[in-house]
Amino acid sequence: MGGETHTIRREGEVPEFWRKDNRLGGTNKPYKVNVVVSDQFSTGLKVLVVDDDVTRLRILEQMLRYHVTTCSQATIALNILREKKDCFDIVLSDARVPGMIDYKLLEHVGLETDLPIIMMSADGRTGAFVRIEALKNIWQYVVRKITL
Amino acid sequence: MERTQQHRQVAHMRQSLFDQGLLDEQFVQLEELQDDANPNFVEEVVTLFYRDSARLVLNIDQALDKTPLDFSKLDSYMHQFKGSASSIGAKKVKGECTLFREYCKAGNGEGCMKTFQQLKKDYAVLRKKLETYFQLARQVGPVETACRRK
Repeated sequence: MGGETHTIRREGEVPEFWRKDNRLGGTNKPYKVNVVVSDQFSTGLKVLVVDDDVTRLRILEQMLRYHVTTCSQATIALNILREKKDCFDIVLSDARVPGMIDYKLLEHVGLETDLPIIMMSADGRTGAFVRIEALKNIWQYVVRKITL
Repeated sequence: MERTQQHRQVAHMRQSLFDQGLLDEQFVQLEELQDDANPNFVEEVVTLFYRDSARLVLNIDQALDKTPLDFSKLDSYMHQFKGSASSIGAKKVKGECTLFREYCKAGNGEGCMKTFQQLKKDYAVLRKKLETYFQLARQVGPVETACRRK
């Protein structure tokens, strides 16, 4: 894992993320799209990670090996994104982040930016813990379906 | 010679934590993340966990003291705690978290309290054992217990 590029192993799974699309008549509701991403991306990818669990945050920081900015409060994350709009390529967030109710962060980011967001296990029943093997390849991580 | 002996001691200590069901695969994943730039990563994460989860333990204790019990709140605290414990591979503690949450769903206050007492014991035992392990591991120097696999 010391290399400079990460190869995406698709293994039949299509990555999913939320994205705002202006062409749909400016709908405010984020929706799920399936996209095909390029096979390689450099470690220059800039990720904003939002999670209220500091232990998980530290693990993600170590795992991602990209230019990572970590944040434990949704309101702060949002401010960061507003101030430094072009500084991030992707947002990785736990759905239950303090400062906002449930999926508000997702909604705000969807409205105000074009950034893809990957939401981490928001399922209250299984428990939100980091699945390192899955996250070894960020694009393969399964995004839980969110009903807004 | 003595060095090898110590290495074996550390490896044995580490293995016993798995054998006793205290740690799971997640811990190994953490070890694999350790590298030259972050040589004490695992210890750092474990320390972070214990420091951060202390307040959750307190919250749960306080919530268990109230009458009547707010099971939804208890469940919410435990959900957070479980997530945290899982991320360091604390297998036994994680199991107790699950049990606690089941008692919450069943509205069984007695079950919650008993489980939490046991959980706190195991949580403390794990801390002690890991502290001892990390201390010894640091004295002995890097051991090839886990290497970064592709």
